[in-house]
Amino acid sequence: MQISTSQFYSNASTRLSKMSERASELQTQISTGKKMLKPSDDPAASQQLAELDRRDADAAVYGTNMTLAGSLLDQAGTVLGQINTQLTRALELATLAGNGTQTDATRKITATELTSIVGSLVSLANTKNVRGQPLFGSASGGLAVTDNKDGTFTFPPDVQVSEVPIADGQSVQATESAKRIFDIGGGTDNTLAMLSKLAAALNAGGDVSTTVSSSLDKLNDSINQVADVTASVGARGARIDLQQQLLTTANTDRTELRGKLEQVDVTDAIVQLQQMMTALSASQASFTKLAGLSLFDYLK
Amino acid sequence: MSDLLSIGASGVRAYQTALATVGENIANVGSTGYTRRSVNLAEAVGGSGSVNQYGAGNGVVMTGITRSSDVYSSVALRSATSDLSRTTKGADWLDRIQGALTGNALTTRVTSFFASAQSLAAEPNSTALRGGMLSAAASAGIAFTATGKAFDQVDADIDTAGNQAAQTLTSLGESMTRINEGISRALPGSTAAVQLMDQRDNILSQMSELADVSTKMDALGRATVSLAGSSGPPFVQGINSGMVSYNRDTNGKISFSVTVGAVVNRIDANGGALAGISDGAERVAAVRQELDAVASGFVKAVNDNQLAGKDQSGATGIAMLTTGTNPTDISVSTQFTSGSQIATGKGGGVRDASNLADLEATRVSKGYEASLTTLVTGNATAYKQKNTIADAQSAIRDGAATALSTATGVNLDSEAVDLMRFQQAYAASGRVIQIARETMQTILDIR
Repeated sequence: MQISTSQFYSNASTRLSKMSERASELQTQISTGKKMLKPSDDPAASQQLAELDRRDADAAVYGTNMTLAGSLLDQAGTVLGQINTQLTRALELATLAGNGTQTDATRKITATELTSIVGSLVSLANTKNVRGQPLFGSASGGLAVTDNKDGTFTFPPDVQVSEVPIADGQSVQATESAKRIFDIGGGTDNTLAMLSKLAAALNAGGDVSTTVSSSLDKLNDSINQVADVTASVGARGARIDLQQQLLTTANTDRTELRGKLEQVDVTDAIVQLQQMMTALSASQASFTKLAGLSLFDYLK
Repeated sequence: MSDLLSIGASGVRAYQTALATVGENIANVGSTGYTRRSVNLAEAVGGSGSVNQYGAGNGVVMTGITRSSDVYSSVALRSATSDLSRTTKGADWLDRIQGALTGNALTTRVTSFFASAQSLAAEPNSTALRGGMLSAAASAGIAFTATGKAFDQVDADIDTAGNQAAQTLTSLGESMTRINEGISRALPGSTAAVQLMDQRDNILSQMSELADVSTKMDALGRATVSLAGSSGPPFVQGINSGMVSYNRDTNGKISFSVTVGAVVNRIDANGGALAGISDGAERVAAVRQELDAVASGFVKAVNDNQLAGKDQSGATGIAMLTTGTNPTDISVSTQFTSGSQIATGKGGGVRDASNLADLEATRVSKGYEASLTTLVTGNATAYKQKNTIADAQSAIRDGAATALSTATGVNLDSEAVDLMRFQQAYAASGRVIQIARETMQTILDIR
């Protein structure tokens, strides 16, 4: 078959430019480290990558949310510990007040200390969280508990703050309401009012034995209630720790999968590039040799 | 001896032309559409009535110039060209769709919007997080708008390409009529006729890039061209040609038509750039329709969710997003000026995020991001397939081009051989003249 001269040149140019194109493609892959630059390079992998992108974005949000929820629960645990300390002191004081050797004067001193304990319990309950919101508040916002200064205390309506989303379809309650912390007897009484009543009785003097003994019972209930809440907060903290570990594992798995899908095997790519360059220079050399042959050289 | 002299002279004349033809071939080795030419030499037949019954004859005569064409290879090449052109031109538009869908990071921004809602759910009373969600909504809107605009641009470019293809085809048709006219006047076998036929084939190959054409040649070599996929009179016949036009109707559907005389016929091209443009336009319309559906669904879901909830002040939520002329022209409503208007809860209070939980549930059940990804992947798959087909069709076209070039192309080595052959013949004819002169001189020298 006779190959026309222009065909010979155009064939050579097509072949050489195809090889350079492939070489440049490999070089781009090596320098970017990515196999795919456009979805059409590998549609199936690009779909998986889009899903991974979405999960990464979600995981970032869940990670932040878990850090927030974890710190809220830690803070709640600490404050509950302090509340417990105060209640223990109140128990000591109540026991002391019940002692027959006490006089009205010494009971007055005890009453003063109890009043100050009530004050610090209120301020502990109204502690602000890292976002400036009441730590033990309710969904309606505002203070967790209001001291009415008349021995009664107002709690906001008992609608819990919304749970924090920590994974697809999972959320955790990152706080507790003050109402639940100070609850005695299933909502019939609360610790703060009970302590205020005790302080008022001690302050008034006279026979305080009935008040003291009922207060002692209720104080024990209060301490138990705080212990229950603390345990529940701790359990939720543990759940977040576990979920964080799961998230980290899932993130690692995704990174690994992403690597497999989009990262180029650099060694393999370099070897391929080298092979391509060798073939390219061989083609160039043979082309030069062939193109240099001409019968016209022999026309004298 | 005068007959020998004239035989020599005829040889010199014939080989001079032959050498010039070889020279023309060599000079045009790189010219596109040039077909190798050769000279037809034949013995000059003498009339009867010669004095010498056994005379040698009257020498050589050049009867014409032949183009080394190959009709079947030309037809094969033209059909392969229009097949390939349809695929590559169609693929160009799929690439544009891919760019439009991915260039504005639409999927990422929709994800960011839903993620910002999840962040806000952790602390619904936070002004910063509310602001974050509002700006995420704005940038998702911008991404939808920009994607819609990118599709508008693709449509505008399709119009430009369509008009251009129609105009080019029309002017190629006009050129063809002039060539047909020239061929009628040119002497068959003359250089002029051969040059016109080269031009004719050149124009036919340009036409086949644009549309699949079927051609018929008459005895003189004049072409009658019909566009496949259109009925009615041929596009080019003799000195008459039609006008090709591009239209986009009110529904956005595009079409090509050809007007010959007063007859208008629709072209349902199945090859060439015309078919590629139609394929692309169809694909753009389909993708756009799906994109519009996702955009409308997204806006409705977000707004319905807003209306079902209560904002930071406890008031019933108002619509967050508005749409303009196109479903993709999404922006944050002008009434929606502050993050505090985001309806996070359903009446529980400022720290109630139950409405945001509903939004997340809608996101999961409707799967807007997945729909967008499917759109991108579906198009990418089609694009990849088109490229695979184009590779196969390129191979077929290259084969056809090689086959044609084998018959019609200039090979410098064989031209060199011809050059030597004709040069020798020329020199030998010169010697014949010299011998005739010397022989004649012998007689004249007798005293």
